[in-house]
Amino acid sequence: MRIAKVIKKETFDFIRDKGFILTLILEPLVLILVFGYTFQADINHLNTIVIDKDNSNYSQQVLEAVDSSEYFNRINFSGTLEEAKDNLKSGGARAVFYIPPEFDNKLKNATKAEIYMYIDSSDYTIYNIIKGASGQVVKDSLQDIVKLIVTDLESERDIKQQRVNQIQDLVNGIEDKAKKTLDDISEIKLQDSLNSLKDLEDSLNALKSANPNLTTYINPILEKTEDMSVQIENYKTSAEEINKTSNELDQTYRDIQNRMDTIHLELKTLKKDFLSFPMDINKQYSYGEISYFQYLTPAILTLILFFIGVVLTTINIVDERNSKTLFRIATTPLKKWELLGSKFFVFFIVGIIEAVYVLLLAIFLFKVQIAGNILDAFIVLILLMAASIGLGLLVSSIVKTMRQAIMLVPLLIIPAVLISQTFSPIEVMPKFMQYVAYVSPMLYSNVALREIMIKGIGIEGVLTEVIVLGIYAIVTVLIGIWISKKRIE
Amino acid sequence: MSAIEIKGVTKKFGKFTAVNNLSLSIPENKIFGLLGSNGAGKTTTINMLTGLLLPDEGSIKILGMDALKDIEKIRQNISLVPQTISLYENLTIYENMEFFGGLYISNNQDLKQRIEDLLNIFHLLEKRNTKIMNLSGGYQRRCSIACSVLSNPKILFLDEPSTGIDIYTNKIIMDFIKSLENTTVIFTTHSIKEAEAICDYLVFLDRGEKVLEGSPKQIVKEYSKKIGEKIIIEFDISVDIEKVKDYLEKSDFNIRNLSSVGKSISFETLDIGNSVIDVMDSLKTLKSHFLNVDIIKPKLEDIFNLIMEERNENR
Repeated sequence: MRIAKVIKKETFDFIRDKGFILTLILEPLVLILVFGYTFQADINHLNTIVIDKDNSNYSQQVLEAVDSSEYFNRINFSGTLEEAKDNLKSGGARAVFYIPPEFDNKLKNATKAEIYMYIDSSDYTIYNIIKGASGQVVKDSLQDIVKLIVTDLESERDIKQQRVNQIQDLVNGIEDKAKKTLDDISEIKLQDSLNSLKDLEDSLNALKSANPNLTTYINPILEKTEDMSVQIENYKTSAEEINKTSNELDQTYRDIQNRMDTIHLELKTLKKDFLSFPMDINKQYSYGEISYFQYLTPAILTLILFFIGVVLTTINIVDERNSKTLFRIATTPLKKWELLGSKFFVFFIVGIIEAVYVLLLAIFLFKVQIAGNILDAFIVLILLMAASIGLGLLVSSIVKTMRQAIMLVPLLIIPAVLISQTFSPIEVMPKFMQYVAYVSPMLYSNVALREIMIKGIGIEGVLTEVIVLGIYAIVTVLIGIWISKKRIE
Repeated sequence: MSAIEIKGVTKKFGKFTAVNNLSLSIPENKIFGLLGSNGAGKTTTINMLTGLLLPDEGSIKILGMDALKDIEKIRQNISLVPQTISLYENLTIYENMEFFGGLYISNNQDLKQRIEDLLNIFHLLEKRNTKIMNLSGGYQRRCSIACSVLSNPKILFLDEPSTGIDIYTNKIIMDFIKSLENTTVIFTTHSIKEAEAICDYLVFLDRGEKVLEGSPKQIVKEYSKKIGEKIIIEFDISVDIEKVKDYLEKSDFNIRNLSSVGKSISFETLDIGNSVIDVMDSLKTLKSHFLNVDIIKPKLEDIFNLIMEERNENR
């Protein structure tokens, strides 16, 4: 069989090129190491200046929040704000926190307090990290500040409560005395006294009638009795007033007590609200907490295999064209589908080996977790490899020289990487670019691999992507064979 | 039957005409030389004959089959040795031969036997397991030719096979080409001497046009009358050469470019029969004894140069 001989030749030609084999071993290793360490390493301990012009307990919380943040490294600084800004320009510091005077007073008076922050925006990545980290500092310091505010309010409340208690004691004493007095001069007793005086008056008047000669003696007594009655009536009126006043005092005390109760309640509520304000969101991750590198891993696998598939195929065919072996073959009875089919077969096998190798590198070097079935991921990678080889066949049938190939291949790969959800979802792109992205086989691989590797979805969940990749491979290979010529022109 | 029949073939690359209205009839089992300077259209012609290029005009018949319609059948019977080595550098001599031979010969035993024969013929046995990249140009060229003749092609196209090789390799190749019996060889070369030595039939191309064709003998015979032949007469030591030369210069014989070197006189003539008789009679008169007379016919190289000069003058 001719095709077997071509496959044998392609295999020998391939494995004899030790340099190329070494490239195939090193390239995925280098790429995965570079991606792994580039996207896994966190940027932290950025030199930071804090200028505290408030020097309060509240501003101290901001300092502590900066110190506890892994992103900031507070450096010793005792200069002015302008000097701190100069430090930003010279690169001595990446960020400056400036806490103005009256920071605590504004907070105590429920006025919006501000911290000024100056960030080195010359480095986009660091700038964004500081932006995010400064939010965390505000959140952390605010939590402690609110605790301080509540503690202060509680102290104030306790002092007021003591004063209320003193008032309560005073009121209680007044009440007791009033009660005793009222007990002494109760209305009933006064009425009884009045009645007794009336009886006495009646008796004296009867005695006077019976003994007129006693009038001189009885009248002064009667006058005194009347005076006493008047006095008792006055007492009666006073007792009513005392009672009334006592009731009013009691009511005032109750009002104060009610107000204190309200303050208690308000403080209680206030404390709850304040403390719950800097709340932690209880995050529930659908697929576990994943790092950016884990998110990138499927795309890195896709990128490496896509790159190898396209480059390997294009370079091999263009190289054959340059060395004229392709023209020599073109004059033989070998059909172009036999030649290109054999090449596809050999590259496909190489692709499978590369796919296994790259997967193992990701798993063993960077402990990448595959939530789903590794075989499902493998199927997607194999289909991607087939599509990439097909694309390589297409490219190689268009370009004529190695120089053209070297220029065209990056032009194909770089946009494909950028539009295929490698670093960010396609939703961030304009609508028309999203449609363009559907042309890239990398997109389908990235989507399918993320579903399998991150979400743990089986191959049945990514059938659309798998089918599209399969069709892509078949169509590109067929077109590649169809448009490649057995002629020079 | 002609192995190849070309009628009115023209091939253009943009505005450049590489082959212009070329007609050829190449007989079977002969060695056919396509000669011409760089850009004459030799390789373009070969590429059209092997199906690598399509002619813009004209027809090509190879072994009686239409080169456009029956190219797949034709490819079973032809083989090309390209101008460049065009071998797989990472493969050994044996592996290259096994691959190229395998495209024609399906029986492995036959193929192996054929490879062994050719390794022997081309003196490649000791290098059979050496990668092409580690071989010298001579070995590479021998392997390249061996790969193309594995299938015993009915027509073998050799595009400048002697470019950049040593004398020994060239001899091996030329001996092999001459030994082919049932193969029509189409041979392009810059070397007119080489073509003269090996080819049964020659065609000179210039700027895509055929300017001369025929067997080397026919061409020389034809051009001897046009260019003339050179006669060199070697005299006895006692003869006064200057006197003889002076006498011949003053005579009205049909000779030109008379010159003397030592005891020899040379001249050219278009009418060799009468001129030699006239000169000999004169020598008798002068009593000048000569030792030897050489008649030198024009060389193909001279003929080609003459044609090229004429064509350049006419442009």
